Amino acid sequence: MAPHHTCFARLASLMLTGSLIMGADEAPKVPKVPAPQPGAVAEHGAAHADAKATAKTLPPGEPGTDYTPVVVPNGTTLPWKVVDGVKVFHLTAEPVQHEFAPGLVATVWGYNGQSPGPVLELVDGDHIRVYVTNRLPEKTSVHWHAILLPNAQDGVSGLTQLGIPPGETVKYEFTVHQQGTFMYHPHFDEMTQMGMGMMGMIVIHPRNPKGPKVDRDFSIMLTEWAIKAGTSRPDTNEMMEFNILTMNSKAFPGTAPLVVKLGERVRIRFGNLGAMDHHPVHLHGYQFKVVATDGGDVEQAGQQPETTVLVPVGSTRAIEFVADAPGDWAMHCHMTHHIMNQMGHGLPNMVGVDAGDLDEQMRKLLPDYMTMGPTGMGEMAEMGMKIPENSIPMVGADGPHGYIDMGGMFTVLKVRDGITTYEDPGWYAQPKGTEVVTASPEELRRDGIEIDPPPAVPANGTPSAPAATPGAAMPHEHQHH
Amino acid sequence: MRRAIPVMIGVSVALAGCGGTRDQGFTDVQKTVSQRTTAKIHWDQGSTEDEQSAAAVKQLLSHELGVDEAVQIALLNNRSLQAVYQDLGVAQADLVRAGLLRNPVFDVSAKFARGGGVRLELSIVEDFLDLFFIPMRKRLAETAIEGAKARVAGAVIDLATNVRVAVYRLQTTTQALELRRTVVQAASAAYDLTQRLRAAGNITKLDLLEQRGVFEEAKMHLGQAEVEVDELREHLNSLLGLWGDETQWIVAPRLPDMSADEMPMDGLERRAIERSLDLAITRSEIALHAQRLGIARPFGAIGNADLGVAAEKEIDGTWAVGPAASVPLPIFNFGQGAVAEARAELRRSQELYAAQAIEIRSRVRTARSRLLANRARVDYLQQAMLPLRRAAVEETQLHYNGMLASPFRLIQTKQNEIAAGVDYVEALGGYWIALAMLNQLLDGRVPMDAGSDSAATSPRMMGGQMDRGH
Repeated sequence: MAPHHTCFARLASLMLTGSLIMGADEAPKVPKVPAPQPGAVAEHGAAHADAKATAKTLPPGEPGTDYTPVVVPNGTTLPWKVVDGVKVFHLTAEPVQHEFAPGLVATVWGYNGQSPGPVLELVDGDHIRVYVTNRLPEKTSVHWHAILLPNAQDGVSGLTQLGIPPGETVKYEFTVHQQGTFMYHPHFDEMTQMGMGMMGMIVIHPRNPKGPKVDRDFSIMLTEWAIKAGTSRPDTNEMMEFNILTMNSKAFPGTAPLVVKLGERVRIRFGNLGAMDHHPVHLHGYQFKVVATDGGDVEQAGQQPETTVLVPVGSTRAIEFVADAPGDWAMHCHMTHHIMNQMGHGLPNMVGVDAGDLDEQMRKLLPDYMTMGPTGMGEMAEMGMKIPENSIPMVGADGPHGYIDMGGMFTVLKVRDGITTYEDPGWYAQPKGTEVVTASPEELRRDGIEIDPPPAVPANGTPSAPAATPGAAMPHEHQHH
Repeated sequence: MRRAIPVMIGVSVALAGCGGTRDQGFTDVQKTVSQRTTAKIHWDQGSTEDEQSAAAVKQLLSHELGVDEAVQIALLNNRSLQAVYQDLGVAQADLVRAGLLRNPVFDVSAKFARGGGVRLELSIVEDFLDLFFIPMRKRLAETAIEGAKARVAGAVIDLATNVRVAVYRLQTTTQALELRRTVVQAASAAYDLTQRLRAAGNITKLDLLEQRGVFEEAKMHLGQAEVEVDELREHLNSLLGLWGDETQWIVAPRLPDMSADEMPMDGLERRAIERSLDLAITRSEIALHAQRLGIARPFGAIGNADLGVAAEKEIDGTWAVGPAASVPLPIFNFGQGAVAEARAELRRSQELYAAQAIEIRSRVRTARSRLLANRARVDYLQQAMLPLRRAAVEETQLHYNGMLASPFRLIQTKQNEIAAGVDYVEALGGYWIALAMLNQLLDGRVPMDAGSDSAATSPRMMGGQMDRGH
């Protein structure tokens, strides 16, 4: 993409200029800035910020004219007002009652009544002032992840600022001179505060977008939680066993679908502020390109085609594609444990176990006992068995073709022709003749497919040990003499 | 227990006229016992009523035995108790003996003179003091009979208590055994599951062996509990005087529920003192010692004083007849030793009486607080622990349903519930035993020591030693 290239070149030259100025040990020559500059900007004097300082602070970018706003599934963008040419925001760090999916509500920490916090949506060159009020029981701070800004604004408690005490409000103020997908999160007691859900996305649009227009621009924060089934607060002492994996703090079936009109250009921005896990997010039905990271745009020549984008912890990725294939397309983390909900660990492996009269024996003591999982667990959730309150151990959702037995980081990209709104259009109706159905005997005969009689012990899925019978035909050498 | 009530009524009707037996104070014992227990007693003395008694026992044995039935059987059928009844006969015989005048002593001596001739000396003397002693002796023997009656009644109360305790123990153990069987069932189910897991190739041989260990251990504990039940049955057989086919009785399998209210503390100590058979025994001893002191004072120095007629036939054949008397002279021993001894004995028995009364009061308070503690434990288990364990099972079942808890954890939680059930049964048994102990005190007997079940005829506490004769 030529425009991106140009942009990079300009940035590089600006930085070069900055370092030349520094090298000359002169006072920075700040170009004429149209907007009035508060004190914070005057502090732009050190390190790389000098280079930025040479970039223009521009009038506040307006949605519709300067950018197409992002769509935040299950979330919102942070409202702002303009005061003397400055975009003013207010974030309140506070406890939040949050529903992860129907059946699981927990007390988490977030911003402005939600987790993740609302998306901070800016335009390159905006000068912003963000008030942060702390309504948590402990100190906090806000770090503007991957934003290039004066050191004092970096939000690292103890290193660049005092932690914000409970009840207090501080002000962050800086001009953004970059574009892309970034994040914000506390830099005080990170394990607790991020484990409790304190994080948010920052989207900075280019002032003059180049290249094809993006019609649908989604923002999704990936993270992970440890919420023991039956509890209602994340366990932030947990280091390894995370059991709720979320997109914008929702686990399927709590995740809202991504609705797109056929033929639209789609961008999906992912951020990952989970504690331990990277997430390979796979999109069905499309090839896409990774067009940007939180380090900036990827040059067109480097945009490798993908169907799965790995979003590492502490990073963002943006992918783009044209939604030219209608349908309900799954989009999910490809780590299979990340599309499960609170199901337990340390259970005996029941696959292949012949339960026999075990249930009868057990019911003498435990009338509700039922052997679980001897044929796998795919259908467990459908049974609607009573489970601990406020837990979603095996919850999935009814789909158009039976039960969708997934949870966690799973959502659906719904591409439709002829829709006029982005309301959930419901399930995709497969065109006649394209559905998967049981193969007919005629088809099998036509294509020469021979089906062996079922094995002797189908119940537990254990084949009658072929190795134990020497001389028996190997499975693929079926006897058709 | 309910079913046996008509039988119990039958027993009381059949034995209503038992007073007709050779009495010897047994009627008084019956009266004392009837003030303390509804069960009847009968002294087998070869009367036709013996058969009625035996029939009543047989009838009681044909039904499920509760505490009341077992006590009734023991009181009619325990041979040791029948042996104790003979104490009444012994005491009665003493009274008869006490009323008889000492036999006169006839003395004859002959002396042969050289050259012929015999001198005869004859005397017949009677210990004339004995005439004064008879009423005293009779009073002593009567006092001793009072003591014997109290001892016999005490033996009845002891036996009844021991039977109650034994039945409660048996019921407790039987009921706990049923629960332990379900523990084995649970362990068996868990082991079965591991076998199936192993067959599917999903667990190691070591896992299988460990689970089998748990199962075998549970079975072993069950075996021990079964032996305990057998031993407790045998103990009851012995207390109930049963042998042969009679040992095939069935005990009511469940302990009764606690009564809603506990008996108030007010007046318990006084009641125990008033009705104490132990104190009655000591009182009779005090009376004996007092009477002995009364005898010792005037007669301490003069053990006997003979008065009689002496005749002498001289060689020449003439008779001389005259009175004869012999009286010890209180010169050296004027009775001070005997009086001092009698006084010391009296004092000792008086001190022991006070000590005994103090101990009874203390035992009543201890027994009552033990009863209250047992009640509190039963209540706690019933109202807190059992619902807790039950709720844990229900919740674990939900976790199991959500594949959040393993079947082994579910089984373990169930076993915890069963264990709480065993605790409950044992606490309930403890409550009934504590109540039986308290009632024993209130019925006038100090338990040998809490928890030990002595034979009905065991000697009593220090104050109640057997009368050493007179």
